[in-house]
Amino acid sequence: MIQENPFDEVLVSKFIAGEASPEEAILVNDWIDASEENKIYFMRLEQAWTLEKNTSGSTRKKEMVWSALEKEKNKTQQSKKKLGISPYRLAAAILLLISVSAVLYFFNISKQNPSVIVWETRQTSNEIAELNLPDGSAVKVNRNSVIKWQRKFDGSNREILLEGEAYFDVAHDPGKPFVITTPEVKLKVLGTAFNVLDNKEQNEIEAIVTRGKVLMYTPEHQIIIEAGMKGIYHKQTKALVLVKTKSNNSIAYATHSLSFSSTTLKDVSDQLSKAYGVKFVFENKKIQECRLTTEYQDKSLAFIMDVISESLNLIYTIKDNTVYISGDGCL
Amino acid sequence: MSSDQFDKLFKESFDKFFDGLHRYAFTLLKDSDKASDAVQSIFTKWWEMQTQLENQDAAKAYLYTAVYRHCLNAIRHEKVKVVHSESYVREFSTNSNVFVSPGSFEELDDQVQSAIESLPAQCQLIFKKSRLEEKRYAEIADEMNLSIKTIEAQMSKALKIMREKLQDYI
Repeated sequence: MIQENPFDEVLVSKFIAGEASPEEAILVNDWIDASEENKIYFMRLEQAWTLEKNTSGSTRKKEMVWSALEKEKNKTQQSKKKLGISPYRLAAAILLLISVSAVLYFFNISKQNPSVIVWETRQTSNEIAELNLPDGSAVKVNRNSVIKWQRKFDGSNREILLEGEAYFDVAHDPGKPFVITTPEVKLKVLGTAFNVLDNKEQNEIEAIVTRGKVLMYTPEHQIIIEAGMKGIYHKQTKALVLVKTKSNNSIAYATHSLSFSSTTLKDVSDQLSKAYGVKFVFENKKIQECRLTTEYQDKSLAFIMDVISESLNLIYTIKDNTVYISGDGCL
Repeated sequence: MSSDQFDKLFKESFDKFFDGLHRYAFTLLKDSDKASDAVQSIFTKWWEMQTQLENQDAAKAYLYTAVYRHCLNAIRHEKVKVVHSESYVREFSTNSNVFVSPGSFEELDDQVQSAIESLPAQCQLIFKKSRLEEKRYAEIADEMNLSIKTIEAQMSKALKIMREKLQDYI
């Protein structure tokens, strides 16, 4: 503690509790900045009090924000100067061509009214589509799904309509929330990675968050889903529930990240079928009971099958999207 | 003011005030990433509006006030009530992983926990409402039928006692 500038408990407690006015915050920060000692003392006090790690004072964070600001500045300058076609614009134009007929079909947009928001659509049947949205967000759309997005994201939100299942890696833009609308429930994000599934069999909509935070809401209720959690909307009761995500295997079609813990080969093959879009045929049904404990990050199906065959003593062949497995395995 | 001067003040203010502004935003939002977003967006706004400020002192006052307003708005919009009633938790209690409540008392460090327990009853209650339930002073005052000044005084008392108890720890 320094002498000439005493520690003011009323002010500091107000500040830590988030009750300080701007003037009071300036006073507290002036005290904190007065010496390195004060700074360290304050950080420890705050951490003991809130038990949350505050990364204030991290130069990395500061640099990140500054470079984001620089980008913003350049963007405004560029749009003022009306530069020629950037690679991004070219990419957007190509996307537009691909889906324009679908847009007209779905929304029957009149050409006379340019202020109408233009939607683009992508529908998948037996394939997984990888899309880059105009804001730089990436989407992997699972099989048998429909996704629609605003062509330019020029509204106050980045609006998405979804039927089916998709995995979103959302570009960070705090000024423009990313909002996904499904027939019953909406999800709102600032920048994060998560999966949304309209699960018709279970009559529910599921959102698994792998990074960041997502707000899931209906006109009546809302929940915040954090990384490692799953939000579920029950269509019948209209209730929202949070549960812990036991495993992210169900979204491996997008992440190609799988982990098994003493899992039967039957379950492993079911997960691999969903993730890689293949069928499994077992010559000897009994080997489906063999168990496996392993993890794969972004590996090819062939790699995974090599490892499995090696560890369970099996022989496999892949032909026409079908994996044939033979051998006595663990038996 | 020329645009060069503006750019200079902008950059200098960022370098000088970022840490303090982030620290302040963090106390209001309780989330480091959200605090960064808040600071970023007030600087973006300043740059977009090209608001002319005389010197660093003026910039400082402007930025702190902007952070304050921005965060209060963000809190208002985000004041999310995690709705899950009793019946609801029961309904899904078959699933052992049902999420119960954020910031439970058990997660606190032993030393911090015993420091909190050593607080006088009223002081402790107020501290818990602020720290664990993340209630605002005004809300606590309202609930307990006390003045905001009393809450302030009790909270600073809590801080004083905690500082003493946690002397070695901190």
